[in-house]
Amino acid sequence: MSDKGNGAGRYLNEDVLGMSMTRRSILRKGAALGVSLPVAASILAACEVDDDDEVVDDTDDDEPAVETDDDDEVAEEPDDDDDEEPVEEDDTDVEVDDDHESIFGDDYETPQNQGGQIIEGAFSDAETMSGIMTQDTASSRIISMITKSLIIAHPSTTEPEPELAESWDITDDGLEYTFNLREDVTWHDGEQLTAEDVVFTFETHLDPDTGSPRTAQLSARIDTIEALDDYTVQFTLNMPAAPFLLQDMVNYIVPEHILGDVAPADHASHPYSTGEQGVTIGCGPFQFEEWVSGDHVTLVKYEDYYRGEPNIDRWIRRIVPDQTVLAQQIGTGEVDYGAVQESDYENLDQQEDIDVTVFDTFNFTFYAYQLNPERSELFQEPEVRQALVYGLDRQAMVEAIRFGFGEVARGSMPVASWAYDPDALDRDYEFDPDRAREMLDEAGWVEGDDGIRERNGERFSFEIYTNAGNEIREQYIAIMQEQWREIGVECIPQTEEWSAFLDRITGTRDFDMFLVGFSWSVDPHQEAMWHTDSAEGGFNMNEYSNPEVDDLLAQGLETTDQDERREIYTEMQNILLEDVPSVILDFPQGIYGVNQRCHNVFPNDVAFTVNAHEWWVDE
Amino acid sequence: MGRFVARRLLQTIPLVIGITIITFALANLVPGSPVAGLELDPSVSPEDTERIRANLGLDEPLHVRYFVWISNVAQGDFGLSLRTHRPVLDVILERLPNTLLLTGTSLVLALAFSIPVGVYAALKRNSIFDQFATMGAVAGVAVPNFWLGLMMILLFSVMFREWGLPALPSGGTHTIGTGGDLMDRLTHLLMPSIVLAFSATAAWTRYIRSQMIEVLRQDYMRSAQAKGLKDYIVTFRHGLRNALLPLVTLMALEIPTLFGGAVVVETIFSWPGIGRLIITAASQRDYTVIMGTVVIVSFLVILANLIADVMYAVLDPRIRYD
Repeated sequence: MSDKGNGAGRYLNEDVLGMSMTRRSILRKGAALGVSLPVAASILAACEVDDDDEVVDDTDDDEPAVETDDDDEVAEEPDDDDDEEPVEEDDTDVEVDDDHESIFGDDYETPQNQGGQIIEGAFSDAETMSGIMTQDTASSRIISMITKSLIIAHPSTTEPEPELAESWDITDDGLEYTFNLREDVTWHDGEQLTAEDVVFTFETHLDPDTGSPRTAQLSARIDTIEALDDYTVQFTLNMPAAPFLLQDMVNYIVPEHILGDVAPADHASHPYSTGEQGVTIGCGPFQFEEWVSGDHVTLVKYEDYYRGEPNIDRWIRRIVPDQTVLAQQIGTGEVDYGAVQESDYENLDQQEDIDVTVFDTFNFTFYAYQLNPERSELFQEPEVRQALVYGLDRQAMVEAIRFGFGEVARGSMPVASWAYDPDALDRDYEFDPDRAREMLDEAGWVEGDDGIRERNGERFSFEIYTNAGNEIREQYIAIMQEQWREIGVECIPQTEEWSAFLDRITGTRDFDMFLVGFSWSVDPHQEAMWHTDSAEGGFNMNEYSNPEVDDLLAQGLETTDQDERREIYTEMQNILLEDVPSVILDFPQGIYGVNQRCHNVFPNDVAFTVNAHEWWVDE
Repeated sequence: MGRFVARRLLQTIPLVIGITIITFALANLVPGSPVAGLELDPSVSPEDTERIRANLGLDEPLHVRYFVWISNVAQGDFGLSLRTHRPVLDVILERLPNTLLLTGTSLVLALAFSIPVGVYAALKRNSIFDQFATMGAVAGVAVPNFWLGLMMILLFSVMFREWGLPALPSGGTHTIGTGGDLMDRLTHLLMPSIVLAFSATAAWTRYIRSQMIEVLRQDYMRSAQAKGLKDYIVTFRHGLRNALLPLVTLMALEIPTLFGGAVVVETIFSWPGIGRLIITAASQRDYTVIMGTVVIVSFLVILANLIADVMYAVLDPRIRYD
């Protein structure tokens, strides 16, 4: 769900907004790097999503969203909106607009028009309309339009930002979190949103019968949840957990008055989850209208949305067969916006009526060494693992494969994260084949007759797996094969259908090396990949173990101060750069094509739909 | 006749069971699982993944799962989708009309085109028209429908728009956001149904042509002419009726091909039918949806064959079933 969600405090000061603006405009310009190779694969597709939609879900944002401030809120004008039609712009709006404060700051454009619709194009369908069950990008995108979470991650700073919770207090021991809810929030059927809804939401998550994908993490962290009064909720934790806000408090709140009597085991198949008008209700800017599976989802505006009546009447998410068709339909105006592949960038950018936006994401491409000696002896020495990294020209890969839309990774923190601090890292694996050869020589691997290195009669030869059909990843392993051959290492590319591949890396673990893309959540706590315990069922699929890293991860979990946490994670990254259990090749960027008839639509990987009520279209 | 139909219907039961066993085994032997997405999600812990797998009943041995499934199906319960948790039957019934509309239109288009062209080509054997019809038919059989579909989208949706001509929509059943009036739905239906009808049209044209040529040589045709009947009566009443008879079998044989073709065509034209449903379900390992779709589609195919057999007896009094 919304992993990328949300955040705390009011960091929304001028500086931040100023910064974010600059960054955005730089990104827009910087996007002028398109080349043209017949490649394909969008960031989404490439990185995690991969072909079939299964995916790791979090790809892009999902997020709960909403904009900022509360004050001025256009929200309340109880006046006119009783009549259901899309009332044309009432005067109240216009007046309030003058001091309307958007989370996107100066990029916000005052609406010139009310009504109309915006169509999002995407190639994977949703799986559920339940904020409890969702774990895929598609569902989360839609749910983030329908309902909200206590907090969200700020789209540019990625720090916690108030949403349904106006403010919160954390006790010094990091064990008690008290949230003060907004009092002006109503569900789409007019019922007031209260602390009871919040308590109910998390209790539903905690019940194993519900089938929530977050039960284990929440149960490990949460001791008790209590509604202190109608608008105050208190969470008591079992242990300090710094990522609690950005990982757990970004879960969407569901209405108790609808779901209160539903047995947890029936939650997933209840009409609320499978989509039914009047039952699937939330507290966000848009209400559920229909879901024609495999085709489209339609939402209509909710006039009494607490941050103000949405400008557009309708939002539709349409399914198209694949990314190429999606780019085509963005071009023809059949859909208003959508993610596009690097290879479509140039073509779309040349169209006058399309804006192409490039943004940093939480995605990354990496390859993992088999560290379990029972499966492979090749990568036991860190020097050998390091040598292979020196043998790769990652900058050239980003240029050739991603058309320059990405950043060579230094460390494990994605560019979009607040913990990204590349200058504090000790090592930078710049392409240096001579050094790679030297290190391999020192390790006893000497070139044999066929140009491939040998040691004690064993050839330095192994297979690398990735999922078939993902052209970007297939190109990575092809280039790696070439570049490693230059340093006398034989790497044989293998591809498998997605599910079979997943089974290999997470199930049987029968690999020497694999390459895959993946997406971090907004909080920089990377336990799932680096902690010893994550070898068992977690994302540490090559069974890396370093007690120092485990310690630092534990500290990171207990430290609530952001700067201290950043330092802890920097220290951890330095150890990882020394050990190189897995190599993060790059952090790809996201690319969205947006029709210029849409305004205030700011694609990002953190909280895309945060200001959906501010979106408007020309007419 | 009644006994024949009853016997044939009974025969479908073991047939469908056989099909389900094979499909169930194949779907499950392929690596992967419906919870694969969860396994790769850092925010989902392994315990949750395990529990969800168990909730879905996936931790049971294969044969146990099959028997649970088949006995539920026998009672009319196709279960819930492992992904969306919606009743499988609802999901299928929601998509089925779209597929029937598409395949039905294609069938009609194919007939409407192949009969006149085939008959005319037979009557004017070796004429320029016949040569072109033959060439077209060979090309039609040779062209793969996915290629044809993409080319048509390129031409009629993309290029036409660029040239400022009225373009056809590249996908969907109607313009989203509108209710979709008849005209709108027809323009959406046009390209996919033509693509789906293409190879059948080509094959049938050839078939009708050769049947017709065969029939024209028959003695009864000469007798009819000798009786002094008008040419068109001879051609249509005596000739065409006899030439079309085997077409009924051909059509029945074409039904599975149409459903198969629908998988491709629906994917290309984002047509929300059974074909796309099964593709999505297969890639997500949504076993219950895969199985439900297979059962329904096989049943439809078997039914179509049965109807063809019955039609045969109706059309040709010489054929009797007992």
